[in-house]
Amino acid sequence: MSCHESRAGSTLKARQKAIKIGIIGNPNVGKSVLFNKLTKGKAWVGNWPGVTVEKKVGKLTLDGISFELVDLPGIYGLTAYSQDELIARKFLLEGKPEIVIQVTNAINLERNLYLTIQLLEMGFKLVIALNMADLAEKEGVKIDVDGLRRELRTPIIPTIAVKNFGLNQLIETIKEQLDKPAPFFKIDYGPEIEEAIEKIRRLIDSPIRRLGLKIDPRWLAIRLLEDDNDIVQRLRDMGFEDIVSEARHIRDELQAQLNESVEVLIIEKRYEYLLNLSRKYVRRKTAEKSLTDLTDGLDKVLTHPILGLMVFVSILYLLFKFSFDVASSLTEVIRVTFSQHIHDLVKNSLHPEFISSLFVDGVLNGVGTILIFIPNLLFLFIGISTLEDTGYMARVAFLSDRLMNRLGLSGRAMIPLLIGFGCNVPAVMSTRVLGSDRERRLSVFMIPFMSCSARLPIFLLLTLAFFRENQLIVILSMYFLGVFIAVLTALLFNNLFYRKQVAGYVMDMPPYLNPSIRNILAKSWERIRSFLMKAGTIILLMSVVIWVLSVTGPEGYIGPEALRDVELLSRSWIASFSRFLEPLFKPLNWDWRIIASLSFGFIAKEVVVSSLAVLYNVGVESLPTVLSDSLTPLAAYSLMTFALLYTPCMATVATMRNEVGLRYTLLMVLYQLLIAYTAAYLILSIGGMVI
Amino acid sequence: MRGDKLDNVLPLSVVKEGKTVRIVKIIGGGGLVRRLYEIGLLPGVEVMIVRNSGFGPVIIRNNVSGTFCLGFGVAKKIIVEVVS
Amino acid sequence: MKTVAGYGLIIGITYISSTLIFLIENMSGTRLLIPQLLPEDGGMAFYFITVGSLYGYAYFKSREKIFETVLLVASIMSIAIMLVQLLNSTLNLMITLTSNAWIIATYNLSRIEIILGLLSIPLLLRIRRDIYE
Ligand SMILES: Nc1nc2c(ncn2[C@@H]2O[C@H](COP(=O)(O)OP(=O)(O)O)[C@@H](O)[C@H]2O)c(=O)[nH]1
Repeated sequence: MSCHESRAGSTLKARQKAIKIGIIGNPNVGKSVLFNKLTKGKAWVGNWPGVTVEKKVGKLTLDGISFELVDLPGIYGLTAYSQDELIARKFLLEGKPEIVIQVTNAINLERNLYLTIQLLEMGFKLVIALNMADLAEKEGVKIDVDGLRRELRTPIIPTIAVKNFGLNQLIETIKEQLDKPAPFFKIDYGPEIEEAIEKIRRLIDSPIRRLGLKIDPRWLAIRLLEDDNDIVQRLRDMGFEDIVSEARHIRDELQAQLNESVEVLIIEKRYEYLLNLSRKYVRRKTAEKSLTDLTDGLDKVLTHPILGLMVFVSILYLLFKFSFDVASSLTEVIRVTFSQHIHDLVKNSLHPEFISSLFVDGVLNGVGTILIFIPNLLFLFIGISTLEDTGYMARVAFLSDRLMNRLGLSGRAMIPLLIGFGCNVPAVMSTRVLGSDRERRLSVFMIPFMSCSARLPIFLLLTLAFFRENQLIVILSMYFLGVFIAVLTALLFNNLFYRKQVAGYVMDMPPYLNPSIRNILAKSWERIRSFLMKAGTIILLMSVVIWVLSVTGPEGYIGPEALRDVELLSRSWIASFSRFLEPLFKPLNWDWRIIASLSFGFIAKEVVVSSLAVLYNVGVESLPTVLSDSLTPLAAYSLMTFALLYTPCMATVATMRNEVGLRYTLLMVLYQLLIAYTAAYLILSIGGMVI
Repeated sequence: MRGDKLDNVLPLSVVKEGKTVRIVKIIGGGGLVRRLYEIGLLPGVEVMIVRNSGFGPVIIRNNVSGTFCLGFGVAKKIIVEVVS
Repeated sequence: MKTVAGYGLIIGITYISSTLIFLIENMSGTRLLIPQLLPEDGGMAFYFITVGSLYGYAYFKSREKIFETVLLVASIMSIAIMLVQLLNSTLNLMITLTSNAWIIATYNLSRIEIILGLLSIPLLLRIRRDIYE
């Protein structure tokens, strides 16, 4: 309490640094929308329950005062139970926001108020945005805002984020609050608990004052009673071991006296308090045509065991048609413009040849690889954002839960895996929404085995050359093999690392809403930008590296002709590297050209076919004939298996690195190479015995 | 007294769709209990079962908490008595 | 309500018959109908079956409350695939602005999902009015 008063005195003019504001709230309350409206669309996030894993920062300038808005993960309480809560609390404790905006959902205000209470107890200056005011009215929920405001001593502003309603008032209120002290707020936890709180408070009060920490001692005492691991650890790190053990002692005594878990009692008291608030200030009458009724009705169909699944599969079909069929014409435009017009332009305007080749075959190739992804990604993101915004994604999770539970995952992991069939990159990105790190890693490990659309050309070419009669079956067998290996991977890693944990989860089911086009476009753009900035740079870099390795060799510079001439290329680093690996792949009977083209496939799997053509010195049309002379059908099948299972393109690897970190990415790359090699070898040797 | 109370008491995971139940107790680790409490699912609270196939996740709702989907494992740990 | 449900049922039966003919054609290797009136591929055939079943289910449940929401889902799905196909043709048209592109475009515009999608629009409007007003 006391600590905040000292800060409040400073005048607005005297401030130099940007004023930090945290935006916090339960999942699905409209936090992202509000954040984007306030910062005029400079950062965007998704809408699945718990999606905002990263910290998003935006700027806002008002009358010459600049504010820094920080978007925090969607959370229900401040107990450090999940990663999200830890992130949010870390920010509140260490980021020292001057003001916290809590976005609440007026329909279920009570549940939101739980977080409010915790924030007030921490001693923050709070501004509450009572969002979804329109929906609450439709639902027949009436809230006595003035009464609640007086009781909580905290400004409450009704808002409709999607319609900009109430935002100006919100901003005005923030400005007014700057110079006011934090409100005094206290819940009475009953005589026994209060006594214990007081005891602990007295213990920590003076050390905190001495250190000049801006933490409310009463709050700290309550957290210690709740046995908050994070807080205990922090105090230990500061050298307050004795206080911690003393507090433990007080807690144990209290527990023995009350004969019940203290933390549970404390939460119960808070709910008692806020249910009391709700009785006084919230009125509900049953609305005639309410959103809840509509949502229930829709759920009867969309989560129906048979119809629901049919709708799900159909929507999936539509999503894929939209993002791959429809986008393909745009991809074609980019490809043509790129590979012809821009290439020629650059080639003719740059001299000497070395420089122009560096640009055309290295840099532009990289840029082309990135750009080719854009239409598909954009359309896929638009589709997914639409499904998210309507609230359908939560139902997909519900539908696939039982299946995914067998793999130690929750239903929510289904969506990333399915997206993987289109493209692994957005699939890996979409694992962000998953609750635990464990679940995220497991699904990121599974995704590369989902055969993405870029692997299809390889299968098509090889089946055309070797399995003309059974083309479809052979290709399908690849997809199934991929899924099979993914399932095995999940089971293996779950057993190995996580001792067969099952995801026990609680997930908010938002009501079905009409999606807002602006929101969808902005979200999709944010995701594309994130891909461009993170994966894009790595792809570009790798393209240049591979170009350098192709035009130079042990004897020195060869020249860009190497990219089109197999004789010259065979003197390059890539060739020596592939020859060096040749003995390793001896059991698979591959010569260096196959190895080299698979290495090129690391840039993008699409490249495998075209580099095979270069290396065998023929056009892609006649490649099947040439290949069928040099490989047996069995060897071809084993090659396909390898192509299916080995490391996905570097765009995926780059994205994986961003999502799960370098260590797990490297582990995964090695694991995949191992699996691919083993599978290819097994197919070759077992097949050889059978035939 | 005790006996007839036990008759009514059962895990949330086996309650039929459309029924309203009152939460009696939540068994299990601190993390889970805390999480459920935080979203307003605590003893004495009534919830309606929106969807329950009997072996998968359960969807429940009330005015205070809104609509939630509970994993099967979680639903098994919530002990309830049927109200209507 | 009965007329609304009946109208939906007719659309639903059209979807299902189109798929059935598609399946028969594929299994027997014969050609019975012009391809515009049939689903493009297996995925779309499944989509048709789903939407058809929804329309059928709605008719079957036309006395119950759930009927409206089933119809809502069915008509939205009808219209969604129409929009995707329209976008697809438009983009293709813009990109391949050749003389016979127009023929392809007209061909695409007479596809069955576009016709049935259009026919579902009045249904959606009607249902929306019932649900939201
Ligand atoms: N009707 C209505 N919808 C809203 C309002 N605020 C947000 N939404 C919608 O609620 C959904 C969830 O919003 P989002 O910002 O993604 O939630 P977050 O999870 O809290 O970040 C989106 O579909 C929004 O379009 C509002 O005030 N009124």
